Amino acid sequence: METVKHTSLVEAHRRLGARMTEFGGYLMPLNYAGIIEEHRAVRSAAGIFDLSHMGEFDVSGAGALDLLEHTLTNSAARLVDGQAQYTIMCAPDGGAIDDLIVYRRSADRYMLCVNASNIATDWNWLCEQNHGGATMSDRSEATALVAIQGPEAVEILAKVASFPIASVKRFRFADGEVASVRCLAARTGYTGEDGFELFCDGRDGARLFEALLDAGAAAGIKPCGLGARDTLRMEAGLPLYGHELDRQTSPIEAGLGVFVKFGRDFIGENVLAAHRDGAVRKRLIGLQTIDRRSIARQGYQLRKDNSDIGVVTSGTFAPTFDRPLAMGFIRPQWPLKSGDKLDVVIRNRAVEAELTGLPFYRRPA
Amino acid sequence: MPQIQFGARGVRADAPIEISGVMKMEAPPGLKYSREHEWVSTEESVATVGITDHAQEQLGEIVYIELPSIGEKVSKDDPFGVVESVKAVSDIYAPVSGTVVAVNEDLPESPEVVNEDPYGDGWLIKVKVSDPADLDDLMDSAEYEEMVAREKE
Repeated sequence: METVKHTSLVEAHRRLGARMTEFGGYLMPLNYAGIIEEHRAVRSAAGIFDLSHMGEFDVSGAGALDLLEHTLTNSAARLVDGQAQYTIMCAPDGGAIDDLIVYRRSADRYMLCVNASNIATDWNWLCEQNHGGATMSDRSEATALVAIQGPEAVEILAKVASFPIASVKRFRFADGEVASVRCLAARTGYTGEDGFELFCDGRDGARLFEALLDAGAAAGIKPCGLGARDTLRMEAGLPLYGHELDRQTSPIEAGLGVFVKFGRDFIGENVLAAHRDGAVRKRLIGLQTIDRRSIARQGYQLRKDNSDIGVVTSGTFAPTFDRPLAMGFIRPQWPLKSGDKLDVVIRNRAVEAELTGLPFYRRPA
Repeated sequence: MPQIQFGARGVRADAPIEISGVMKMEAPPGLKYSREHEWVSTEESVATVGITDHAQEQLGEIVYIELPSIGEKVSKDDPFGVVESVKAVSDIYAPVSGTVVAVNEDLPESPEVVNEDPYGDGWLIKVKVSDPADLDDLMDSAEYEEMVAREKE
């Protein structure tokens, strides 16, 4: 059994009274005050998250772009300097190895941000595919990542950033100082809200976290754990690796076709093209239980007319809607659409549910 | 700032939190406690059953409760219901055997009451105890607090 790793912010979490849990090999905050309260802070004001468990790779040199073009479903060649892109790394059979964000610093310098639980797998896979001699460096251990999300997030950051952070557009990033800490500040997130993800040296992570808590105190910022991160991303219909995406699931099946750019000869492209043309084994749906109380959890079976039609991948109480919501896969031969009824099997009982579109939540314009 | 309407399931700002591994815990004297973190209060031969403050704190915000109906039989150490927090599903185990004579009808609509008042308004069921000897197996508050302290180590 491997020992559980700590991020550089662990003492700050303890001071703030966090309940800690293991995630992706790291001891991380599950919640501070409570998941629902933290969730609501992000929807109505701002929340701050320690995401230092996530992995960061630098990929640079003459072979860098070729490596990314060959291993990722989205086209990094379309990026300009200072732009970020959501993408998926697939195996030759089209199954997802990981989902990640690519940041282009310059034409031959990129950063990849990957899921904590997949750091070793991704690293080994990229090294195996690195035939063009790209220079790779795993910066995961030395990098802290702090996210600040919510309608007040940008205003809070603007008070303490040494550069015009509010003018950084969605899926763009800039290098600069935030609260006197050198950061890569990316306008990205995983909550359905506006906000930034700030990468910095691990030694500065706690200082940045505490400074932003102070700067946002008047606006009602709250420290948020992985519990709220999960309910927020669920409402926003965003996939979580291990739930909506895994080695048995292609990005097309997970509803992520917009992040697949064909005609580039990337790994898994043939299978994904077949999925695009209809050969999917399943499709991702949203659902809500009619009684507004029963929670359809991961692994629960979905049924229609007494047939097994699929399975729940994520399900939780959704604080913004004050009812449980879930995502799941159903087999493609079931032509169910929004509003159609299906059953979810909860503790051996068929509970009536209704299919919904995704995402559940879109932030007000 | 966009206004978002939230539902009735508010959360207290003073929800108990764990500070530096020291648990703020309460197990009132006069109640009996099970290893599965249920409490029992007996009057005549009817036992009122709930979950402890420690249990509700571990679960976090409770959003769903499933309880048996009046007249159903429950068996000591078997699950008789389910409590769900945002994160997880947990069985609730019967600390005594018997027949359900009352169910807290407010909980399906307001499950957060179990967080707010686990030993009072957050009670779950009342059971007509079939074998009073079941009660002898339960712990008193000092024994329960000691068990919780050991689990924390």
